[in-house]
Amino acid sequence: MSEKFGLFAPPGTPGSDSGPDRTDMKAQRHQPRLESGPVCSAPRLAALLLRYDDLDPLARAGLERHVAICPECGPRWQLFHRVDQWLETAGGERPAACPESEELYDYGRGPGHRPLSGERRAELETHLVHCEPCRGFATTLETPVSIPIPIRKSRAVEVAAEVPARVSASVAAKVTSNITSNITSKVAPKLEVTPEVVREQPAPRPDPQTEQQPERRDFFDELRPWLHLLKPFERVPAWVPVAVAAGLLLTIQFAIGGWDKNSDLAGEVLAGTEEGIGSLPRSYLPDLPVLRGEKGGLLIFPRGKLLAGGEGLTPQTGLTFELLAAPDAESYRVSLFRHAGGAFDAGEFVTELKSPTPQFDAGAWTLDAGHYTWEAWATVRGLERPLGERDFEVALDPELFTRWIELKSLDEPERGQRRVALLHERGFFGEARALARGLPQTEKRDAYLEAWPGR
Amino acid sequence: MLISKPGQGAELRFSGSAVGWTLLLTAWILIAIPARSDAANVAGTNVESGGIFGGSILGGRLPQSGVPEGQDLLTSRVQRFLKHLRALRTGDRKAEQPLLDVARELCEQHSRCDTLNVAHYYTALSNSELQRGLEYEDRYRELFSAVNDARRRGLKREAWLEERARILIQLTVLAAESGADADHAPAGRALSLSALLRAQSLERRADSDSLSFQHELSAGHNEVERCLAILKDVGQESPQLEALWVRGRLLRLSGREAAARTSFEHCLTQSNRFGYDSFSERALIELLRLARERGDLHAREQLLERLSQLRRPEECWPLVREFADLMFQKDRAAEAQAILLRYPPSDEADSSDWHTYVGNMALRTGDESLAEKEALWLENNEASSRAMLARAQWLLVRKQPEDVILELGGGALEIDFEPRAEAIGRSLLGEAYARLGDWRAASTQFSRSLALAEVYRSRLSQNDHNVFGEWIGLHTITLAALVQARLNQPLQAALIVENFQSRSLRDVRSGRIARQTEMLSVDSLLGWADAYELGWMSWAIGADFGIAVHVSPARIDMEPAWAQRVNRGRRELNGAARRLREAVADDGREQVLSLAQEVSTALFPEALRDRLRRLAQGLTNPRLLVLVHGPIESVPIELLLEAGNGLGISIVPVVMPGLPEEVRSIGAPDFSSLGGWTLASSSTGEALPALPAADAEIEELLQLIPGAKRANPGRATETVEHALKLGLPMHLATHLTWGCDCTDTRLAPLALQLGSGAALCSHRVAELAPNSPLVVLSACETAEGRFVDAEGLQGLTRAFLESGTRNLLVTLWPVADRSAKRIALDFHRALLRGEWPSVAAAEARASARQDGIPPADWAAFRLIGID
Repeated sequence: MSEKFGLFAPPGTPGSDSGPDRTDMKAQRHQPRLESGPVCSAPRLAALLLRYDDLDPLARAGLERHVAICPECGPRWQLFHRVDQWLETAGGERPAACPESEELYDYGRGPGHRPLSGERRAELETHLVHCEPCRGFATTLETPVSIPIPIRKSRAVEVAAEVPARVSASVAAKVTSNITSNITSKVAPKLEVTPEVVREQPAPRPDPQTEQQPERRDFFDELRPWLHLLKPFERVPAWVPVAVAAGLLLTIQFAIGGWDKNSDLAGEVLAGTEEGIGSLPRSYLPDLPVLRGEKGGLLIFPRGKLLAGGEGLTPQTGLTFELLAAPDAESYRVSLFRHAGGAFDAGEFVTELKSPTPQFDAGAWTLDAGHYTWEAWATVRGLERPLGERDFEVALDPELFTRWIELKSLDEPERGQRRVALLHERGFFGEARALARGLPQTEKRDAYLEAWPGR
Repeated sequence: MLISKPGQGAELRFSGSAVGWTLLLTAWILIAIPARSDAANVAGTNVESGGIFGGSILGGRLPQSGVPEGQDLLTSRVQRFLKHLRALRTGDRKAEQPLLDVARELCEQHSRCDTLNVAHYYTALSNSELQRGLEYEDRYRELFSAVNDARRRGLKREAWLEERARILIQLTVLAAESGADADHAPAGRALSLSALLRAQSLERRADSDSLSFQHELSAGHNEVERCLAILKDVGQESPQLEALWVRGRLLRLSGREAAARTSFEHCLTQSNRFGYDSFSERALIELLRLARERGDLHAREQLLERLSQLRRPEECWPLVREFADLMFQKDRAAEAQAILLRYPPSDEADSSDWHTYVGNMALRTGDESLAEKEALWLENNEASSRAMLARAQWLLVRKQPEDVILELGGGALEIDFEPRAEAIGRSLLGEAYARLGDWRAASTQFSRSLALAEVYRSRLSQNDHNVFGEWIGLHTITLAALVQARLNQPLQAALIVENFQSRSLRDVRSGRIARQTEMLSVDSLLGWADAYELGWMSWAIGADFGIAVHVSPARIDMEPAWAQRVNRGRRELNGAARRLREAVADDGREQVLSLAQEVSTALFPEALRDRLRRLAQGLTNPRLLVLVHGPIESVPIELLLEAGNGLGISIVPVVMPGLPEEVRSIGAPDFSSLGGWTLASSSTGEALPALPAADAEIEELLQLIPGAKRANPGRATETVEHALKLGLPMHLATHLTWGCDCTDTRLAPLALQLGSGAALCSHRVAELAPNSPLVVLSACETAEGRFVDAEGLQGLTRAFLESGTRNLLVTLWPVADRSAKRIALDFHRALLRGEWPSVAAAEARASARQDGIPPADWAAFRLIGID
């Protein structure tokens, strides 16, 4: 397996893309090409375990050999099998009356939905009249997400161009099936930059003496309360076990430290419209204080904290840098430094990104937990001018995951709004913003997006 | 230009790193420009002087050939004008009428009425007069070509001096002959070129006090004034651009900076009018030079912006040089180096500049091999005082202070260096002595360096200077103070720290014009310390390290003063302040605590804490006057003293950006019974969110403060300004915005909204000069301003303080409407109980903190003043 997937070999060595299996382009495109690091690095292991069934025999054998001898991956492997068994049992109890979740998704006209025949649509509608869970679930998909988000002009800067929020599907079963495809599509190297990679250096590894090691948590302990939460759902309609399964898989992913950023589970969070469900007495989005003036600075996001291992929670496409546009800027550059979080830490260079627009993605986000400083520059008439510096922290937050799952039972849009509030409360402003972008457009949502947190 | 990392690792225990003073050397480099060969410089800057037919009469954007008729009417008409003018001057009188016709069109339809003047001038001349005029012009063109030839041939200094003397004589003869003739326009051009040659030569000389220098300067002035008179007489406007530019340079050499600036600004205005980009560029470069010399960072940034709109970096070396220098001043040496390496000058004559700069940046970024290479280049190619300074710099890096003393000592500075360069040289020499432990010799050199800077500063307009921050540098001030500390004279160290920072607080003013700066005495330092239970403390922060000083009141058996090195430089402290403020703003409470403790440890060393503990024993709410300079002004000191001081005692900070000249604490008003409070709010703004709590705040204050009056929203501006003129106490609860039309470039354009589009701008506060006992500015970041090194934040707060306002409650960052109301009300309640304003502010903060309000909402409030 290691020869085929390069799991244990550095890039470019025999066994990587240039190896003898290159002719199988399709298969290769779906392999999680791991650039470096051991197989037990949490996100990589998750990627492999979750698509275990799709791995070819050679890869499977290699993975099994590894988990058999690795004290870190072995328990995870066992957990994976337990979850797999549970999923099969729960799925077997699914009442026949409820439609497949894919069909509900298509009925809800989620992005990428397949057209349904008029007859089938009518059948589904008949079912939805009598089945409240299915109805609520399908309704959430009906309202498209509004983009872009208005940002009020501040000082001498102009409105930043907004990257359209990615709208994801939200059907639980689709999640389970999409997990594989999404994870396998995660072949981008660290900090792949859109649209242009200028220079790339590997992120420094955390010092094992001082850094928090997310993958070393006792994830069995963390999983226990969530399993308890799942019990009441065992006798609900067909799609629910699948959704729970997806949640559980998500949980596993959290427990072992990562989730593919493209997971469509995010779409579930996105879904919801106040109009579709009926008028709500209140909004659960966080209130930002009214300030007696204007906020300063051009560097908007990232700020505060970013969630380590929580990429699947929101539709955010990895690490996104967001600045207010500098007048006459021809291009922007961001330098990223990692530091220990002290007041005087200068930081170690991580990478540098360039973009013609003031908002750009760093692609697949695999920053280790820790403190970071980003410096932004704008090239104006050939001269590169500093725009400022800002810190953020990539942090784990087990409590957030617990509370996240607890909110799952709520209907939309309350669920989405409360999750935005949760992320905001825990200081994950970037994720909260990304999630809020996907909520149905309301005055409150726009106000939240317009007035970003902080001072 | 937010945008700062290196500057770490000062390797010397006493003097930090030698690279710190590269700031000094950079200042000298810029002062010394141009250092290129005379011949090259003259020819390079006079290319438009080629003659009357080349379009220079009319402007720089005129096409030299072929724009089709109708495509660009102005271009077409100008071409026709020049064609008819050529024909007339060669004797074709039939060209007269068409010439006048097209000139009329240019005047009426394109506002180019100078063409009518030119047409009338030449049509009035006879053919023989025109012929002689052409002959004079040919002679002028030959001399101009000779200058260009000299450049092309790369004449060395001696050969050029000989050639220059010959050209000057011939220009003088030509000016005399042509000046006496009917067509005397060529005389104007000859005088302009002659004056230019003199200016170029004088700019390279260091003997500005010598008779020969003054004689040459006088001759240049005479020529340029005659030139301008002639060109005005003959109706040629665009050729006056060169004369205006040269006149500015001569005025600068005469020490008349203000007049020089006026001349360059006139040149710039006219060149913009005629579309003469090359002279716009030259005028901007000269204005930049003046701004640099007077330490006006803001003007430099503005001028650089205009220059960058005119030229790309690849075609304008001065643009690159100035930009790199500004980046360097902002502790961005790596980026400055990158731009220098990316855009080297195309002209060989600018190599010396470039090598010096690259070497400096390399020293700062720690690239010693590159720095050594550049130092060697200078040693081999440059014989000026600049090269001596560069060598001295390198020797300091190489830890060879003895060689620095050999290089710059022994009277070399008095003989070879002009005063500004001497000031920098003495600073280097002082550092060399300090490294050798010769504190007395070091003290002498630093004292002379600062005295020279003081003399230079006295020449400048007092309103827009910053000699100490921008060209002598905080590094020198810090070193000078540290030397006094090593000499066991901490009070002298404190005197240096305060006397050379925030001088605008001690300016003696006539209206808005500062006339002179009062110097502090040891007695005044001690007097200020006696006014506060814990005395006062201050800092000077250089590029790589700083010094902290404390002066205690005389009540306790303790050394009156204390001073100690701070092992953090400007960039580090700026970064720490930013990080701490971000954590506060994002409500990262645990991080706030740890960051505050770290910053507190750096700024309040243990020995100082011990002094403060002893002083505070048995006291309730002891006050410490905290003089915040440089990066420390942005540090939330209040938060440090609340959360991270580790003292085990409560300290009430009274914050000031520097010491005023006189001790005014005696006779403080009774703040509990201040009369005449004026209250105003602007709860709604056109483009700003409503502030419901601001209105409620004013309503409750009306009930709380006896005799308080609320400004009528319809007449808020009149009421507020009237109250400020009378020096009444005031409380404003409103929005603060950036970007008002501020007439004072020194102050940041901050505006407090007064409703209905009216606002109180920082420059208006300076005009009103309020000397109120207490002003509350309950709005966002009212303590903000434009940062000027050694002077601090220049904004609303500074305008109030300079006017004599005793105390202000201001904010360090944006504050929430509701929290601001709470803090404001608590503050006034404490005042009414008879507390000092500083204690009232501390109690309001503490109350909010105890109720779980995040630091973002209470740590922003600062009592700034003298209490």
